Amino acid sequence: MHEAAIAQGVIDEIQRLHDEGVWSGKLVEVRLRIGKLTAVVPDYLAFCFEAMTKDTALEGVDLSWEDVPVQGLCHACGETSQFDKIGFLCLSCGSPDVEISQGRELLIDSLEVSDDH
Amino acid sequence: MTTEKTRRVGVVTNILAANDRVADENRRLFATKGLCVINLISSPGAGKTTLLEHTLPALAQRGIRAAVIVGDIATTRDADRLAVHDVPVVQICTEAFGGSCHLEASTIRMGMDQIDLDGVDLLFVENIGNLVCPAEFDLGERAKVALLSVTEGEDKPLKYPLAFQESDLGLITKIDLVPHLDFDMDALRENIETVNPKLPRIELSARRGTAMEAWLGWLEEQLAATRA
Repeated sequence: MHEAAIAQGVIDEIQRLHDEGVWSGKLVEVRLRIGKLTAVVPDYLAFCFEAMTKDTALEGVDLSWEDVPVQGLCHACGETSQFDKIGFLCLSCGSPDVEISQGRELLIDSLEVSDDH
Repeated sequence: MTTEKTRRVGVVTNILAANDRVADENRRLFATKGLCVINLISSPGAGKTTLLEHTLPALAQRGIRAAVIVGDIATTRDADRLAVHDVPVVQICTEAFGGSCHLEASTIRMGMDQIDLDGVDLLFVENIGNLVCPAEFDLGERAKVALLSVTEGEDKPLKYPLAFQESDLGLITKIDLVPHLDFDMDALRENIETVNPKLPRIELSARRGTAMEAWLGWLEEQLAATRA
């Protein structure tokens, strides 16, 4: 249960991006990309984010996410496989020489911002 | 609901960027010092401390100077067990940092500050007993080692794939107990291969000294590669 640490990471990055002038105004929504091969439960993350932003400037900001499926590139045959369960043998040729190319993402994808009036 | 006009700002930034930045700084510092850092990850009770109790004297005999940063949610029991081996040991109790279930790059840096790194070749990080969260946090280490004891059952790699996916070595511990257990070693090997076919494995018993040579040899290889 380290979703609180991840939620803090989201908050810190939002702040850093604001300090660097990447966004300004009123933040409405944060969109994440969460790989299926991360040890993160998005619902817990959203719960932590809501609790940790209460009574702060980020209170009420929506957290949404897109699941990123697990893919692996086979170094034997060059094909890319998409995996929906554990077991990462190439689905084309059966080789174990598969490099996970997608599914480890823990990213902030974009911010939805409204201009303050 | 909301009628205000909004605009989308694409950012694509790593959520753990703050941790990763500190981890990169740690990595640079380790490289400058020629320090080999090994991160030990397992469930509680898999034998991390016992392994170190038998590893530290063997390394000293080989002239390798070790140190340990050991994380626990509470108590200094592990540090007390290791301190008798006359190596620098720093206990990090995460209670002070909010009872966290894992060590982060910044916690390692705090631990490092208490060690004279110039007198150390090999730094072990004994992570908090937990097979889930520690796998997600880069500490700047050279290698992650996932430990799994035979008493935990054959299906652990399937239940906690990330730790085995992210590790550079799998250690199967307490193999002296196998005759007393209803345990299928072949099934465990197969499950590890399912999760990570490329993961090298050592099956050992620290208490009996079985395959400790292989483990020590692997550590020496890591140390040599650090300094290459």
